[in-house]
Amino acid sequence: MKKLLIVFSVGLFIVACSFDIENIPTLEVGQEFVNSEVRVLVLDTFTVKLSTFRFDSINSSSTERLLVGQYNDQFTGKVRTESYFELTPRDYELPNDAELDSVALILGYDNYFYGDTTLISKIGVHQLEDRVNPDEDFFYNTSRLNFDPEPLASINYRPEPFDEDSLHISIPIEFGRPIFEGIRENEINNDDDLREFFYGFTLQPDANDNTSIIGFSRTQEEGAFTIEASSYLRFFYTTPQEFEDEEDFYDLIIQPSTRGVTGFNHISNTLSEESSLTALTKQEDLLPSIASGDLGYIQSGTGYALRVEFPTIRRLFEIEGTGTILSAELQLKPPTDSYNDSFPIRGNLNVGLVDNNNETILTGLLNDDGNAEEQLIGQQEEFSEVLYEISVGTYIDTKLNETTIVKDALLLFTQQYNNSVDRVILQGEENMDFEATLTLTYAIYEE
Amino acid sequence: MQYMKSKTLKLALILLIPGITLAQGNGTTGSPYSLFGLGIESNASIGKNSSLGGGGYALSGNNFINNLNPASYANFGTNTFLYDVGVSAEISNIANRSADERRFAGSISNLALAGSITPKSGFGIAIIPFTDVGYSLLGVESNIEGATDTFVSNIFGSGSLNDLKLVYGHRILKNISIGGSLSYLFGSIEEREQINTGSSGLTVLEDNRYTGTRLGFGVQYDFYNKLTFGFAINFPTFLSGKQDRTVQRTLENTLPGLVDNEKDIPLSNFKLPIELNQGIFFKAKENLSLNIDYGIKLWGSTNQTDNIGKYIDQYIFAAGAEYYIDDRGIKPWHRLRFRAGFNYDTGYLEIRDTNIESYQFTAGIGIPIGPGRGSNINISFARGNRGSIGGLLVEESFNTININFSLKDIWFVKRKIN
Repeated sequence: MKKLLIVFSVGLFIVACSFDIENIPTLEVGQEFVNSEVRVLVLDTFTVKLSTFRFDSINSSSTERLLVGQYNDQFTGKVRTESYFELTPRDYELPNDAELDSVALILGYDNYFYGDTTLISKIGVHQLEDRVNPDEDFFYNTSRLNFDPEPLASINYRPEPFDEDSLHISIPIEFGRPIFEGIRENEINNDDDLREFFYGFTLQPDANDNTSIIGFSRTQEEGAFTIEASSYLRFFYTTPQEFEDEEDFYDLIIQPSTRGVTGFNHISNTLSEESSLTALTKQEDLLPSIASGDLGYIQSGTGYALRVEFPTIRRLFEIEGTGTILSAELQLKPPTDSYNDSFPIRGNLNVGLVDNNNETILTGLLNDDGNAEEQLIGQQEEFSEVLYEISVGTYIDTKLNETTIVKDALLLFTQQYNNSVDRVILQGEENMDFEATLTLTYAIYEE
Repeated sequence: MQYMKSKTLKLALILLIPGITLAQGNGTTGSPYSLFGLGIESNASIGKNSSLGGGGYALSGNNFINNLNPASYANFGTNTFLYDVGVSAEISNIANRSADERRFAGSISNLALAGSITPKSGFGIAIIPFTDVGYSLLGVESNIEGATDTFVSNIFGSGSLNDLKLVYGHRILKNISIGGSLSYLFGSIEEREQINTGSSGLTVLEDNRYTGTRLGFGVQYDFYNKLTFGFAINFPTFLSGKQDRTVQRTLENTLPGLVDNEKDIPLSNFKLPIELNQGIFFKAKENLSLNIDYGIKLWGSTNQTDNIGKYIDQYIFAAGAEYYIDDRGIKPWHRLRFRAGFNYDTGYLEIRDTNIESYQFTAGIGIPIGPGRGSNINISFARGNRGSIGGLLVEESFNTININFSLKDIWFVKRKIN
């Protein structure tokens, strides 16, 4: 009987447990007479401090793009790009009976433009007087090399970055002949031999141009053994045959940036004396938006970038109760007259972190796992106006929870930062049109 | 006697352990009203009370453990051992004006052991559910402050409080018994709220543990052998509570992370009111008996309010009858106990000027088992309603099935056979 009772109890236990599975119902009635015990608040009164700063230098040699042109920017002054590159062949083999017919520099468009492409621009092709060989590991946007002030060739052209494949610039045959013959006669057998004759070219826009900046590409495709070049110095030649002469060509190309430093873009801007940006001389210098017409400045290539700080964020703790943030969204808007078809806004912005001296800590933002994550500001087009929205919850949460205050800040910069001159202007926290806003969603779970 | 005691003790331990384990986390309700306070009062009672409308303050402890009145423990008789275990299941239908849904919940409803000490006194230990919590509110909309938007949360609650009770009853005069009980009330209620706002979410998990003790006292008085009056009081007390809180957050599509984990946060005491219960038991015929009961719980004097509801004085009325054909009948069904009852409860909660009252009809049979006298399987069924569908409230209709095994004298039967 005692055994029976034990069996009985165990049986009940099992029955009770199996009942328990169904214990939590999933009904949708009864919710009308309750409220959440959690309060959720939306707050958008925190100060958003925008400051422009300027990177001392940007690596401009790790790109396949050649940038040439000059235009006057409404905000950043006269922006000028010059391209410097070395030209070398794939091999040093030419038929012994080849006869040089003509020489041309072919520049393949890569669809990039900034400025008014309906205007006629001028490009001068100059011979370099220095070897393309950086003192350090790279060339920067500030770098320059000596070149022959007399152009070897020049062209006035209307850029067609979308409608045409390439730009053709004729080079005097007298320049090409010694190189061509040196290779044909096996006097030039390697790159060092070639450099005895020729260091490379620089493409210089005209000093008075106010037109556009155009992108050309070095290569189309790079295989393991082949390079499909987009821009090259082409030697047209013929070889006599029994019945008819055969026409052929021989190219010097700009080796891809992945195979070494073989070229770079010099990118500079000349500000008018009245420009508030003249205050920026060192990388740690800051130009607050309130001191520059409630605007913040970002431009690829010239090195302007935006530092975003939230100095009043800790006032969140003044709200009674214990809580946590559920989201933080930063909203920024460029003035509508700062962009148009000639000066387009291209896609999203990059986000990163900078320290107190504007040294980059991270490009991307930390996620919960502590890893930097590529993060882009979403671009929204509403009423044909651009508005940037960025989720900064993880960053704000870190700022709120840090025990010692770190003077870091969000970094905003344009994409293609080292190989374009894209420019974005953003309105600051006191702008009449649209104030830079941080919107926090905050949940209080204990009153 | 010594042998019996040690055996009894062992058996008691074996039988109570699963009960205590179970009692920690089981709810026998799916009622949204269990959101308030510490949940709804459990309507599972021991033995045959459930089929007699939940009443029986004047019922003698002659053949079963009557946990409603400790004075009944005086009447077990000589050398008696009683064991009572039950399970209950509740199927309910919950409706508001626009929707309804079915819920099911079930668990052990009670465990009790009792025995006579002397022919005039008895002692027992029981564990019975005290309150039950089992709600899930999906899609609760609340306003976001500082915005015109709302956010949606899902709120879940589960758990139960239990009453571990020591009872002693003594017959002081031929027709007067008195008894006392000491209850240890304990248990935990888990509340979980999940909030979603777009790419972020918050889950607040609160585990509330309550403990407290309560004293009870009871009297039974036989006017004459056919009419008994019973009175039982539970003294006011309070439960002290502690909370463990865990807050988890998903921030802008990242992995959920812990933002708060606090242990042993003191909660304000939950007050239990004085309870006054009385009943009469009338043996109309040898094989027909009636009980009428009336109880008051003075919740109003605790001055407690909940989120939305407020506590009001509660009145309970119960009536029941038991009938059998012939106790010494040869045919087994002649010995079956047929029971029926009714219960009306004004409820202790007032929500938007409406008190959440409930009523139920009960019916049941007692099937005598075993070679001894007084062992029964009691099956009871209750059908009732709680709340009202008016306004924003919820009406709940529930069916409860309760199966009890009430075993008597088993111990000695076995020994006699040996």
